[in-house]
Amino acid sequence: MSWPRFLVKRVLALLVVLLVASLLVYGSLYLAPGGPLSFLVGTRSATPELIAQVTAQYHLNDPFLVRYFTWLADVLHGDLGRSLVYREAVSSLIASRFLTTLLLVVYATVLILLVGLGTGIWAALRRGVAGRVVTGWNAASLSTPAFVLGALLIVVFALGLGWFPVYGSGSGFGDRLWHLTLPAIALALSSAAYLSRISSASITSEMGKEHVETAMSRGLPRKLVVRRHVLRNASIPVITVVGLTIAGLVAGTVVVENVFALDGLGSLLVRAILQRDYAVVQAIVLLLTIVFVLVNLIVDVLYSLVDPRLSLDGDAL
Amino acid sequence: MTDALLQVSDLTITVPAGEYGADRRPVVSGVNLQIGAGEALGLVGESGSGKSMTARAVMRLFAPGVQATGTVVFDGCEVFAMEDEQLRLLRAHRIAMIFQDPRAHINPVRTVGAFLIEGLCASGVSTRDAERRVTSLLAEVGISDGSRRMAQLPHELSGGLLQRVMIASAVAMDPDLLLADEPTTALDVTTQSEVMAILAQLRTERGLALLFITHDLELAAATCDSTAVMYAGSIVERQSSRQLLTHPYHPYSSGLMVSRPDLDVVRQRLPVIEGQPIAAFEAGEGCAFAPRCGYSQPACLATTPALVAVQGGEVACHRASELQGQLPTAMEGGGDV
Amino acid sequence: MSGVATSMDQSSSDRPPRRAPWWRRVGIAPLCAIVILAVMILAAVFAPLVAPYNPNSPDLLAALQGPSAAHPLGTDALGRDTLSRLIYGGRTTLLGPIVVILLSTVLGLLLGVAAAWRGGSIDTVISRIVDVLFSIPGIVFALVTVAILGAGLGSVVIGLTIAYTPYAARVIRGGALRERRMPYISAAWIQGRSGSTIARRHLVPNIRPLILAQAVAALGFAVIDLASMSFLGLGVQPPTPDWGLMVKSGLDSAVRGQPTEVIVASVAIALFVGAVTVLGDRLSTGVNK
Repeated sequence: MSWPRFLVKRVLALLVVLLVASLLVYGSLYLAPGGPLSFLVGTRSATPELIAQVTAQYHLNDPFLVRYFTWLADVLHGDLGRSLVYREAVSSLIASRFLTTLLLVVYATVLILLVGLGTGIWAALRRGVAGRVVTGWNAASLSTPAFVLGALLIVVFALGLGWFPVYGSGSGFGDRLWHLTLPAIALALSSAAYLSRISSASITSEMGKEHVETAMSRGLPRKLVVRRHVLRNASIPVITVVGLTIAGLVAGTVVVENVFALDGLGSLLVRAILQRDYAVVQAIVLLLTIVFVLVNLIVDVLYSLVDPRLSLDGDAL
Repeated sequence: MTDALLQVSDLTITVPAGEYGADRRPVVSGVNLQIGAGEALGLVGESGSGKSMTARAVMRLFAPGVQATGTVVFDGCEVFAMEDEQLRLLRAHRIAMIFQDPRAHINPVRTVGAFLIEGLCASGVSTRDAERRVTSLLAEVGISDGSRRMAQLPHELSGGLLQRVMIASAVAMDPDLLLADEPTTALDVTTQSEVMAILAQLRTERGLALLFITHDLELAAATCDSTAVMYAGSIVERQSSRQLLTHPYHPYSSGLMVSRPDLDVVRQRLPVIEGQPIAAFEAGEGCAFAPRCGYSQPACLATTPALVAVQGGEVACHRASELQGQLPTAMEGGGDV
Repeated sequence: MSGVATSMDQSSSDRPPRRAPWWRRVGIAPLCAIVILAVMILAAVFAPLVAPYNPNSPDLLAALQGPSAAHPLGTDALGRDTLSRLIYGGRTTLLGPIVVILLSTVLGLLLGVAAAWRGGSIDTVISRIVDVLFSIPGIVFALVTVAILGAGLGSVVIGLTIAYTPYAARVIRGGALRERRMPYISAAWIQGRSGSTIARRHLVPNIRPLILAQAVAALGFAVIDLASMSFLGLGVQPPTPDWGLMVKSGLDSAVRGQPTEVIVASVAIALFVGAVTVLGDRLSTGVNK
């Protein structure tokens, strides 16, 4: 299969997933006890204006599929509806919080790559005590949920030692990074441990491969053998893990932002859920899904670039 | 003899065993062998006899945890005493190894060309020169469309072609000694003979010394000047190949010959050596082969026979002198062992 | 090439090692994990007998205390005994994930075995649905469910069950496909047993270790997800004691100067997840052997 066909096929599959996800997100509204109108109005006083607004916004008088496609068309035009709580366009609510979440994810990704790959490679090449220390550290990290770690980080480094601010996003780039350090660590640690474990295992298994013996038997410098034959080959499974991990971070921000009271998409989502602000919920959930699916697509493409043996016909599943 | 290119003396190799690797098990014990410049020695034995380990010991190519004692002297240098850098240069320029399964032993995600020129480039040859040299080498091993093959990935080549690539890469650095670890076992029969022919031709053209590891006694004898037979980590017989085929001293050598299928003779059933081969650490007191030997006597189980000189070679068998000339060979068709 | 020269198997000469004592064979770490899990589960089940105080009776005069003889793990912002809340809290914290895993495993078993056993279009349809569900992050299901049904343990359990079913289905389908190709299955066919009987009597019992290993591995994640949802205020609702909620209220207490509660709850969650992970690893190495 040629590259363009491969890409077209993958993008089509992605669109199908997004269509299904949007249908789920939209359709679930109709599963709400009492029907969509009473759900959307919720505990707010049901004034005729509010009912009219909700009915119009969600096209509640049209048949289901018509409503769904009208909504979808609106979304595709960038109209994500209006928040009933903030009385503001959802798109502008999201836009103002997007940067915090993005920064947090990027920061955590950098930490994961540095710490995860670093300790993984170190443990695999050194073995012995180093290997055991890293293994133990990874096991502990994997057992600690992000919100638990976040709470402990606050207790120790913000409240106890006073090195970092307890809550909030900060202002200005440097200050923002400073405020995001503990959240990024909380978000990154268990993923870094997972990456460390996978990369270490992958390197160790590659070190024992016959082709590495060949390379050693030819008197190539050990550093060259490690870089060219061990790390290169070991990176193939690692890339998948990195991709899945980053995709998973997007969901993880929901929890971490709430621990540190960061004003990002995740805390907006939780508040919207609690306040039954469904337009906001729909928009953010769709956004999370899009990012998740996109990252997975990128990983698939990278994967076929790194492993030349992989035919593009291969089913990714 | 001190002028040998390679002199292996009293080589013993142990591997870790037991729950935490605390125990050590010998897999090779007390092996002596030598190869002169340009000479070919066949080393024959079943799986687990220690022959591959012996070959790897020549260039100190051990997995972590493997320990070796004894001496390996190559061209006057003690291999086990070398600094890492010295050892690296020895592997790069003087000794090359080809392996049994080229598909596993060539990096699957790099091109054939990258594999071939790697050694040359690492020792300072420019990529263009290296490519030119390996292209002509590929022609020598019977791959005429070298430049096309070099752009391909290993999985796009057949096993026979890959083994030729492996051979070309091994001789690319003009080594003095070639270690061939069952180079034809993973190939089909017709490809086997082609690969053996290429090896023989390269060897005579370049004056290469060869240590040829195989489980096929007759193949070894046909290829090599002399042949040594290993059983349970020790050499049990060494002779000139010609004489070994007609006058084996050890019952095991004889057994290896008669249990090989012969293309000219139709038999109801192939004679076999009863029982399972054992590893060095499983051998107790007495001759390691005695439990499977058709000629064993109580004395064989009492003490381990030493390798002693006999006319034209060496053998480790208590009954060697009695059995001389009586052991069946492939030539005679032979009966059961 | 029969006879001498052919045995390619290097390990054929390895004799099986002497049988180690049972605790050695299980391993020290899995054994510790079993003990930790047993203590936690027993304490939660027999909470009324074990807990020194009523977990919900406030004592404002004794609020925000550190460890003492009267309150070994201190008290929370309302003066409730942290040890008692920890013991009772195990009930929701552990029961929720166990229900999620039971439900998703049963659903996954039905889907996975149906897909592998029937094959053809049924397999295609089920596999495609599972693929699509896989492409949506699991926590999204939980969040949407809570958004629709309202916050509470029940909503979260439903949402996470939907999220975890595709994982179980995929693993079980893989195992069932491997098992289906085994000769004993064809032997049962030839003996004229009905398909559903073979699936129930032969197939499922044979992939039971795989099902168990996958369930235990998923349990660790379910504990994390469920406690996270409670922490966010979307799962278990106060004043019910719950470890996720205790981290939340403990964090507020820590800001007010008393970190005992948040540390205790954090350690409890990490210990439980760690123990489940160790056990899951042990079970899956057993399967892979």
